Amino acid sequence: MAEFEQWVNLERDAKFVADGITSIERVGEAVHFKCTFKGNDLGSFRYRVVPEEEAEYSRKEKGRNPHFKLRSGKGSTTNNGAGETTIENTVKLPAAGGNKYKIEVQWMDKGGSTLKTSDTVVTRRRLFYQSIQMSGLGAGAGDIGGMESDMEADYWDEPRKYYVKLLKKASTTIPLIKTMRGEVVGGSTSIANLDEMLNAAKPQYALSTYDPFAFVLVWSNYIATKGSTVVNQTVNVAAPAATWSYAGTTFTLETGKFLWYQLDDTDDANQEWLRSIDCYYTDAAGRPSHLRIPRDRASIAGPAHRSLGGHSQIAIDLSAADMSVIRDHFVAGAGSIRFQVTVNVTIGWTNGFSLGGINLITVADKAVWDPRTRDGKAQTLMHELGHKVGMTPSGTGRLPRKPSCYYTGQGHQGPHCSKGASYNAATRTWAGSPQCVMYGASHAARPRTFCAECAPLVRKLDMSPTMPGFVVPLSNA
Amino acid sequence: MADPLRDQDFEQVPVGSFTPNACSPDVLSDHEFRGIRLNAPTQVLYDSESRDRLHQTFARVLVSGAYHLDSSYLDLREQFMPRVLLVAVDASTHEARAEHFETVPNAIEVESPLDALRLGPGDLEGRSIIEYFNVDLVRVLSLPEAEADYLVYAALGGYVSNVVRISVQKRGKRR
Repeated sequence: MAEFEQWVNLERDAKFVADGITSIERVGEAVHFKCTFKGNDLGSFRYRVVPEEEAEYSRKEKGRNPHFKLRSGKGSTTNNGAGETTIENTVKLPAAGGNKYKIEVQWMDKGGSTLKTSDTVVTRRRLFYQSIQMSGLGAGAGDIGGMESDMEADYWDEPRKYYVKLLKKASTTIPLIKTMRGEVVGGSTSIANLDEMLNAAKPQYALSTYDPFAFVLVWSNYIATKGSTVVNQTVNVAAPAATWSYAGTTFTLETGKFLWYQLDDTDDANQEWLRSIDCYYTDAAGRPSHLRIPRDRASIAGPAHRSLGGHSQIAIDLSAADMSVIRDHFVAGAGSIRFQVTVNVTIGWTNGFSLGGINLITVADKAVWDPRTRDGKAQTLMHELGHKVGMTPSGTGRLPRKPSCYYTGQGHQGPHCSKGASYNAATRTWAGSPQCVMYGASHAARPRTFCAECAPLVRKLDMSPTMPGFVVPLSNA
Repeated sequence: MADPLRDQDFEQVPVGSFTPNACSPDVLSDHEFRGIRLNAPTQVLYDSESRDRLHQTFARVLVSGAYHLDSSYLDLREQFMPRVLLVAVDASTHEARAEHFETVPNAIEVESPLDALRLGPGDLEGRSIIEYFNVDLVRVLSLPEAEADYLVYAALGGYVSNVVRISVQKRGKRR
């Protein structure tokens, strides 16, 4: 009695006969079986494929995706009295992992006795990946191999029957991009400095042989979004506030945001965190006046909020002679002066993302000037690959049904799972403890696993060609 | 006086950026202004060529916005951006779509540096901030792939922006 693994998502191609697949017969959704008649008598029989264990697809699911159905799963055949002969038939198995099938044969004469084959076919899926690490991530990134092993185990997951075999076929490095910036620029087709990463990774793409069953995993450093904030701070020495101070001839301002600093060496050299400083005041003649303070009078001040940086204060040196009109406002009874400070700040951070069409996901090694924990990164990896393979399904097209916990929007971009958490539309806030790795934001309670409602859908995903997340290989990006 | 904005000017604006640009509303020239202002193209054309290769969105319906708010407003300690609500109403069907936008997908919640200051009641008096956003309504509001005229505005607390009208049309069709 034998059990054969059938890799149902792959195309029947000899190149996949490797890494534990020993025969082309085991590649693809189609299973051939042979019936050999040993006698000379005319014989006819019915056959049918009998599931021993099977993920259940609804009628609607089967209606919109043929890969959710068992095709040619039953029929009848005869030897036409030809004596010892062999008849071949083909059955196409559904897309899910962990299904088990046997062939049952029933003679159409002699009392219709039934014979069940002893061999079992079990369904599996297989994807290939390449790991690309940005160089110089630091010691905290050391367990990348371990996190990738976790990902492989999590997507195989025998108890939940995902049976997605992830095979790493290449490991390479690209130069460090200290911070990948989240904004999209120029028309609708390029992303600010994401192209830098794509261009670095593209020549190293080693998975073309495996397209469209391959993806690239990039271990990146920071992923942050830059924004501008204009702080208008009215200053009057008669009414001091915690957001500013004046000592000696230095004015220090708390900007209230983390400055765009220590995220890009070129930006730091260009003092990119500062856009402009203006002062508005009333001069001795009672006229509204304005003075622009040269950029070289400003510097970063105060302690870093995090282990690797994170500054929010700036100091303005007012000691030079051309600043006397400003200094004069820092004496009792001088009245008020307004500083208008325009700074570039970090306006958002993310732990990783999955590109829509391109077969690439990335996980950030650090966030908010701190190294991320191993658990946090492993969770992000699971989440982003979840997006790549179709989670959380919308119940349309080639995807399985939409779970009750499915949501889009509500402050999060993309299809996500709300299991364990609830969204208050009035206050636009989330509460509760997320129970699924596909929850749409970082949360202390978010697990590394799919919830009880999403897990069966992972098993049911169709990973055959034209998966949306895999349509554009990195080589064509 | 600056030249009036043309629809093609918005094509040069980085989507998902939060810095000022040529299409950003002017909230600097009048220091007394408090509230939200929007600028947007009057017409957005789409066809098969306009589909985004990464996000697969059918078109790019960009809105450039800016706000100037007192720092003490709503006791939010200047954390206004995540609270801005974008609203688009289909002028024909009156169907309304409303959503906050993310500064970055799956954003991490980060405490404000102001949280560490133990601010007293008067510490934010006389202080205000201006910030900018440039967002794609197709992504934020999941606008359907269909021709429509949208009335778009933004709201935060008691402030409601000006209303901009954006016509989303298939390229090559005469109206």
